[in-house]
Amino acid sequence: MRMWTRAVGLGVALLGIAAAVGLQACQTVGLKATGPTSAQAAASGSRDGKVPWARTHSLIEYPSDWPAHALKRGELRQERGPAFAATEELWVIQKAVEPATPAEDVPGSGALVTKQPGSDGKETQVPVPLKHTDVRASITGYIATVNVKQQFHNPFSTKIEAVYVFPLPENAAVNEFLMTVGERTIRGIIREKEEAKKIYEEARSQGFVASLLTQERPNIFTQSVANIEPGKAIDIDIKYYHTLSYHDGGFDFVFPMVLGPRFNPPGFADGIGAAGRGDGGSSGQKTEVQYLKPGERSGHDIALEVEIDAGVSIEKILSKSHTVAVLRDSEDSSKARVKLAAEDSIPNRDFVLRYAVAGDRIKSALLTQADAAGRGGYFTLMIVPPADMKSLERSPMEVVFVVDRSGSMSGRPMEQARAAIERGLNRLQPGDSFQVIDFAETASTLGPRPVEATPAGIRQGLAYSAQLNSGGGTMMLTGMKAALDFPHDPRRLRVVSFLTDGYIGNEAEILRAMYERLGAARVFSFGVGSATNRYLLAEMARLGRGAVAYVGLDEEAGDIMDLFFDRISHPAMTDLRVDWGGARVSEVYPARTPDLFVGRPVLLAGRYEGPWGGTIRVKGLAAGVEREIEIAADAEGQAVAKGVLPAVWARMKIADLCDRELLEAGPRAAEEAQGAIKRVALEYGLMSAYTSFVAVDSMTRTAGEFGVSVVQPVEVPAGVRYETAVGGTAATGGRQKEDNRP
Amino acid sequence: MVRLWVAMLVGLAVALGAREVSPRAGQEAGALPAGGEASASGDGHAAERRGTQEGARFEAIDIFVDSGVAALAAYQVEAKATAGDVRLVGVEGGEHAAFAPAPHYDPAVLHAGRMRERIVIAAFSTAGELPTGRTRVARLHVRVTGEQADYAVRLETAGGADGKRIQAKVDWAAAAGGAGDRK
Repeated sequence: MRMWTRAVGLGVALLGIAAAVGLQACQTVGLKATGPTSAQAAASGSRDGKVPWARTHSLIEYPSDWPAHALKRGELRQERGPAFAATEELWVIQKAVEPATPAEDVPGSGALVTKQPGSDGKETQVPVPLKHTDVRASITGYIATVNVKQQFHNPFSTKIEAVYVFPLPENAAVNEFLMTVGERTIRGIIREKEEAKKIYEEARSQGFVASLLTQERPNIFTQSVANIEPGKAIDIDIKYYHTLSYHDGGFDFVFPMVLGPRFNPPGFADGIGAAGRGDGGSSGQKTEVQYLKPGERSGHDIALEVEIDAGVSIEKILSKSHTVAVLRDSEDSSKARVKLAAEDSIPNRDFVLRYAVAGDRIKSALLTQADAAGRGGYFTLMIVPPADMKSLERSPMEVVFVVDRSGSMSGRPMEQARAAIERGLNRLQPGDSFQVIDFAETASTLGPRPVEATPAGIRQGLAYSAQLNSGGGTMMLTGMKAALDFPHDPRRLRVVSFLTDGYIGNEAEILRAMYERLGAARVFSFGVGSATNRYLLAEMARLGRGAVAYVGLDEEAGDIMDLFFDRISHPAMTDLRVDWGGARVSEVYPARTPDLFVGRPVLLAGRYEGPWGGTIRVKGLAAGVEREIEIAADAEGQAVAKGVLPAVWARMKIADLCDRELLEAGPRAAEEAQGAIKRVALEYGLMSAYTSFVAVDSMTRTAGEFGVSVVQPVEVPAGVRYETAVGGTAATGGRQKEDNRP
Repeated sequence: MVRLWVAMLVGLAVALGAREVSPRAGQEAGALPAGGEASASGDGHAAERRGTQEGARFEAIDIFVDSGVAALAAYQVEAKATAGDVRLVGVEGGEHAAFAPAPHYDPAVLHAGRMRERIVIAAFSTAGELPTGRTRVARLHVRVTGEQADYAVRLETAGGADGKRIQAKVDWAAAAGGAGDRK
């Protein structure tokens, strides 16, 4: 009886969610890319002369008798749904008319690999085991549910094992894993990592079709599929939840598509290696990504669709990374569907979708999900900074720009970094000081001490920044120490801004070193490039009590820096304490509540017992003055994300435990944290550093030896040079240096 | 009523996936009675079969639910190893199209720290055509080492198309046409 009661309660609420997601009848219209001359393009309007992220936005205007007119001409393909009224708007967001490729025509840029012929003038199609990836995302409020289908096949004449190293969002709660063999689907089981690996290896050696998903980093995973017979196909379905970041008026949905080539310091053996296709093992790292060489193409492509139910009116939808088709719901402005254009299906850069919502509609809010017993449950609390914080002025700052000038930053990324610094220097105020530190294999500084932000000082900084060039390895630790070790000026707030693609394999070492040296400084990280290491950058910002921002190849770096200065120009609300209004709350994560910056809400997740009621009060200090934010603890009328909050909460708990493992002193503390991570991950069925999914089809045993392991080679991210990031010393670091020693 | 049933079935599956399914009090105590089948009332007994081989090997066992003349729309079954070192390595759906998708399992139950593997699986279907009589609802893929494996299954609940609980029986058998038959 109790079980039925639970089922009824959950099921009724779920029905509402099911209705809210994907059950609207919407018309889908596909557009053939006819080029900019066929559309009436106009720059989007801007409020203050700045166009922070609408540089490439094109407004397409159609004749009044569209779509009948267009259908007749065969330019449009009406797929389904009711007739699209001529008065409705269809926004088609296109990429920049002038592609932001490096000034020089260099191989290694993702877009160019597909066009650059090999030495014989032809493009080489490389047979690979991963044929296609299909991504279906559904966003409700600020939580995304994402299904990723990887279609493996065997194009070879003998049995193979496919191995694929790929990225996912760094905060993804991966909780479902399915293997499809022919017509049959087998749900994978979450196990302790070593046990799952053992099971997989045993099954592989005995000829069974099996698959294993392991985590190398919070944003890097390895998929292994054993005993794929010639001509056969095996599909792997992965499902995860994650919360979207909200900043400066909009949400970002990011699906990372490719890993950038990581640099591993000499002697570091637990990194992520980068090697050319066919040069497996050359990096010396246990986990290795193989990259297609210039002139090679794998044929692996990706399809992606996103359904959005924002809960509030959506004002703009934009992707600067890809060409997309956007369908707005004609009856509900809070809903939309976005589809990746077929001609933009090469997975060589992160997919970034940004949608702005009505700014005054985003408010602090509580989401809850009751547990089966009905005595309590899980919650998330979004805390939005008060609008009047923008009126508070900041204290003098000591801004330290730390620029990665390693080989992977060559070309457009370096241009972006220089542009960001230039804008940053011009935003400094009298009374500020600054330093510029650049690092590759060594670190250099503008001067022995910070420079006063006088006109002469700014000119000096601009000249230094303009001459920065890239090349060599990524000794970020050296840069980190240089940025944080010099004496702190007590009269100024030290703000350290890292500009990097994050292509390193020793993240733990960097994060630990940063945390130990942080003191009163704040760290803001800027991810520069098409496929940055978002785990590293987000963690640096989180542990550094700052914020993270990303500068894509097609974005205005200066505008991103402007937003950064707008944010730090007003004091954050610090020392946040939450009065839960009588509710019995426990296990709230992150355990250390982040500071609240203008334009950047904070998200907490926790567990509760008993009823909610009254008002939640968040208190903190802004510019030394006590402030308070009131949030109604009202479970009625909310868009509750059923079935998701436990996974989101568990994932945030795991992230907190990972911090403890990383930062607390002593092996015993690390061991305790590891045990706790494992327990939470197993209980909630989540991937983690210590748990893996394994699936074995005991009904399908193939003949012969288990076959050759074929590593799926991937594209070098767009804007990254193969020669400087994969070839040479850039990626192999000390290993190759050792080989070259006299 | 139909919508309520759909909502209930959906909630049942999600409740399982969200860790909200737990065995009723007293179900862990003692050995299950010997016999052929378990009834939906929860006080039934389990069918037992004998495993046959030694050494580390991969096998599959099929779970059958017999709902008689009533159409089966949902079920929840507990399965556990009673002998042998058994590890669950995959959960597959059933033979009827209504239960072809892989059922959900409760990871909290699986990793509750017991000496022997125990799992609770559940599924529901809103398909127009539902199975009647004895039907394979799931296949459990397992890795077995050491002594012969043995299992016990218990039907925690079964539901019909009208949303009401129905009487049903559960049993298991070694999967036919498995890897052991192929070389």
